[in-house]
Amino acid sequence: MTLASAKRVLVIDDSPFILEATKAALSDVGFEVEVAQDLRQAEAQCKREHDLILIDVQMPEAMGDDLAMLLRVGRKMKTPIFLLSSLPDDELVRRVQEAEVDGYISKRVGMDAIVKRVQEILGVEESVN
Amino acid sequence: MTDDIQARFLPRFLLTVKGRLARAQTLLDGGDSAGLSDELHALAGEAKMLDLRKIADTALRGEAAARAWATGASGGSRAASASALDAVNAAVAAVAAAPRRRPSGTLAAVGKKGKARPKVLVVDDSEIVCDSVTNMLEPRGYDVISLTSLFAFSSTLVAEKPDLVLVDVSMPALDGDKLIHFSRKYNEGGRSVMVLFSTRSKDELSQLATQCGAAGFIQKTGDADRLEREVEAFLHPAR
Repeated sequence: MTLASAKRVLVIDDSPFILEATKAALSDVGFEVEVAQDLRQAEAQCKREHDLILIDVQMPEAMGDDLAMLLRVGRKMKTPIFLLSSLPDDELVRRVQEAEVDGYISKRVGMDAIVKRVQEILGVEESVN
Repeated sequence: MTDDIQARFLPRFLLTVKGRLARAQTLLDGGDSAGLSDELHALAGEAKMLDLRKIADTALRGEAAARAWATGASGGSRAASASALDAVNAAVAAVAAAPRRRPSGTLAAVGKKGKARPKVLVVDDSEIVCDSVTNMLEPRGYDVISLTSLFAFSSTLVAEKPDLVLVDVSMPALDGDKLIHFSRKYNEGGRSVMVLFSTRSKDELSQLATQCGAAGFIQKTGDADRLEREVEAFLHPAR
């Protein structure tokens, strides 16, 4: 187990509301969180090192799984990439396989479960907060 | 943890969702079923993140209805989508009207730095805006009174003697700038600082504030930190 404070998470989502809420929730348990609301910001952020990238699927400029595939297959990025979406689980399973990314986190489970899932993925102890 | 996140972000969510519902109605009216489906999908995602299940569930049903309408699937129609959108509106209204728990670790009980809690009166025909302001300011040590109609404005001003009055500019019965102008006789000695409260541009609000004799303006925001800073600037201008 490692400390959450050592881990950097990038969240890419076109909803500023979701970015703010997710950043707050993950920051509360000690993660360092960066966000990108569009492809230009995502491009800039992806040049930096992260321990985990969460990408929304349905965005206006591009589908998140296409972006994920570009990062994983096109750029050979090794950073774990998870889709973050409220699409049904079976559709997310299919998109994960097609994009060759590491998995998905459903927005449908709520923020608490999302934070726990990120902690599990990164092997981080739960915060005492 | 979720409860704190929900309490912290609910006012912001309610402002965001108001915009989404307005766009959804426009898309419905324009017959853009695919756009409506996307808008309700986004709304459902945001609601799910805050564990607002009733809103999320109705939005997902609306998304499905709009998608069926878009693809010509069985049961898909404008009427079914409209009905589903009504259900989302009702679910949002129910959450907006419900009493809410305050975020933990706030100054709610003690007031600001142990002093008497400043009293803020919000006059806005939108219950969501009134509720959002209340939920942003009360945990930070303010007492907030809100009015969604002008019916009791003058009597509230006299009886409550609020320290600050936030007046929406665009209201059905009377524009806020005119309200401020006409209500000066009830504001004994200028005790209550009268401020316009709107999403309009700074230039327009500055001009309106000068014309009606308001102390200034605050642009509507879902950012509680920013709102508090601007409220404090009017309550303690020397700081």
